[in-house]
Amino acid sequence: MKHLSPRRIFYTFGKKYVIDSLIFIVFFLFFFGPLLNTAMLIFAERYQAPHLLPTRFGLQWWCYILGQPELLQVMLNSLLIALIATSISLVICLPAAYAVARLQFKGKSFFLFSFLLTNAFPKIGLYTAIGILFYRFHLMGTLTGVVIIHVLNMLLFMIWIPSGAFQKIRIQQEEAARDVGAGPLRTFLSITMPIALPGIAVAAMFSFLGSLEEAQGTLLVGFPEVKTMATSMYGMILDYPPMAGAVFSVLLLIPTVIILLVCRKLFGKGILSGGIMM
Amino acid sequence: MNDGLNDDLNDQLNGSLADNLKAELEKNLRHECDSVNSNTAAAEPEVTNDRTSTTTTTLTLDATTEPAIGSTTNAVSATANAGSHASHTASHARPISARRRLVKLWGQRCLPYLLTLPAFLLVMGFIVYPIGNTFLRSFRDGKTQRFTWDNYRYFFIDPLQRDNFAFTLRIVVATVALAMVLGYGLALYLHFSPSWVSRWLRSLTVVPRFVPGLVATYSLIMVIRDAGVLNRLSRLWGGNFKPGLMYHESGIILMNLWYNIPFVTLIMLASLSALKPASIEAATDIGAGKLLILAKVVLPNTFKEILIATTFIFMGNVGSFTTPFLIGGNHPKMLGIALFDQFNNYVNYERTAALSVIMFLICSLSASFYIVNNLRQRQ
Repeated sequence: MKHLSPRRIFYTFGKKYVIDSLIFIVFFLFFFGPLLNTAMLIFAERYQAPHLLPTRFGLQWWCYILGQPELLQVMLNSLLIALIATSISLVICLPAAYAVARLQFKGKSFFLFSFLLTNAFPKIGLYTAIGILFYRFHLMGTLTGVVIIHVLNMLLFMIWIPSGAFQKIRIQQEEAARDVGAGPLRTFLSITMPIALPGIAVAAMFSFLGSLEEAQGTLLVGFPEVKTMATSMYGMILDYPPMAGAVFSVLLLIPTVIILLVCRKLFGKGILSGGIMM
Repeated sequence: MNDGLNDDLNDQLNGSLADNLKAELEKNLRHECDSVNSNTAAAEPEVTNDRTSTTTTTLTLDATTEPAIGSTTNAVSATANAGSHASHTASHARPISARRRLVKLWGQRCLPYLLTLPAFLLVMGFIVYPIGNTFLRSFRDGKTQRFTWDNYRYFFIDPLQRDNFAFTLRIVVATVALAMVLGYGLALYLHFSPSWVSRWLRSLTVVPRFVPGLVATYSLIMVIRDAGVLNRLSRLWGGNFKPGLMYHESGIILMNLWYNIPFVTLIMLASLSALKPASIEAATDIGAGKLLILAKVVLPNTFKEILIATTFIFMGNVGSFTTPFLIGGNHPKMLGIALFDQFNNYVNYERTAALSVIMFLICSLSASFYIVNNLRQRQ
């Protein structure tokens, strides 16, 4: 044990090394310890109080969760809502993003201001405000209502990032296409669009992922008629044994991981860091 | 995209690039016009008809240099002021093509509005209108529909609600302060201390952004609950440590830190990478110590991002719902939960409206910093 005394380690490896390692350990335990613990729990069958590790491993809880007929419906709901909302917001936001990036028009700053307002108003307050209106128009508990909420969440993102991508395209490239006789639409489709595609893809990806994990708005507007994986997770955490929650967490994470990997493969490593800031 | 926030914001928010290009273009055109080159007209993209093309060419050649430049550049950048002047001149020559040009100009002028219309309508219909409606409703009595202050008074007089306010503010302020200090510290360490650790941590800080909130909250609960990992670890050494973090404000703050520290670190790293090493070297050369450099060079240069990060954390946590819903106790509650209760359990829409307006006012205090800053950059 003499070799393991802290002072000995400190002087053997040097001050910098020890501090570096300490920071790394603290960081890793705080941010990844809980996640690793969850990763362990998905294979647990019995996990009772005094034991740090599960006393019996197995896949019993997977069978339990996957055996629920409701779950498949919930997963489908989640994917469907995310898909519809992302497509709608692409159709609505891309033209606006282009206009903001390239064209001058009156009321541009007012337009931008109204989008920032979306983010300034507390989300939960906005949801209740919309909820009151939804009751009046009978949109409460409908798929349409939930999709509207999800599209609203994507707005800022879908306008800000693609408009940045459009702005980065050199205007001469478009002009060159126009000079050789391409119409405005063709220029857009075969010059502007391909260059801006990575930025648009990032925005779409983040919107899709955001929609998958959106819980509070769906809970407020759609529950109990429209259930997504995220809203079911509330019940899982509050009412079920810990292992069920762990399995469900992993199910919730799987689409995220797949999409991130695919996007990284398609558009390269740096693609992710751009969107993180939002 | 990967240049980080600072670059991103700069590039996205001010159209200086476009302006430079426009200036460059104008210079080129002037040069071409001086040498009276008939190609100038070909640079105008709107011309499809051969006959109009010739008219424009003659016009360009006849007219003085100044309006010619104006009409061409404007057609390119799709602003129609001087362009209408050109069409006006053209109307003397050929009335039919003039009408066509006019239609086209109208199209050009309306194009931005057409493009932004769907998004604008969506924002008006589902954000501005509901917020306006909420605002009006918060001053209305539920039964008589008359003007009243009662909905607001309730939140300031009822002791339970006042507890909720104090509770929320305490949590938010603690979260902001701790996340800023720890996140900024981490960013400084990662930026100024090159080692394998900082390289690893740099890529690891990205991960929490992608973990769904519910999964992260669940995982943390598994660790901090009274029969959780911390408790079980302490039993290995014979103790029985109960963290007491669940249903308590410190648990909520811990969860908020899990999310917000990486956020602050990423923003600050982007900001620090824009800081020129030369300015730090200069300060070192004249004998400034580390603390002095931090206070006089690093902090002022990253002040804008500090402001942005603070604003975002503040606003995000005032209305937070998921974390207090799962970790928080029954009393006091955070405002997000209190609002949900008013809406869902008490079904009192007037009080719901009043509370969300109050929350909005709290947020807008800090949001105004951010919005003013952001708009100033765009222009």
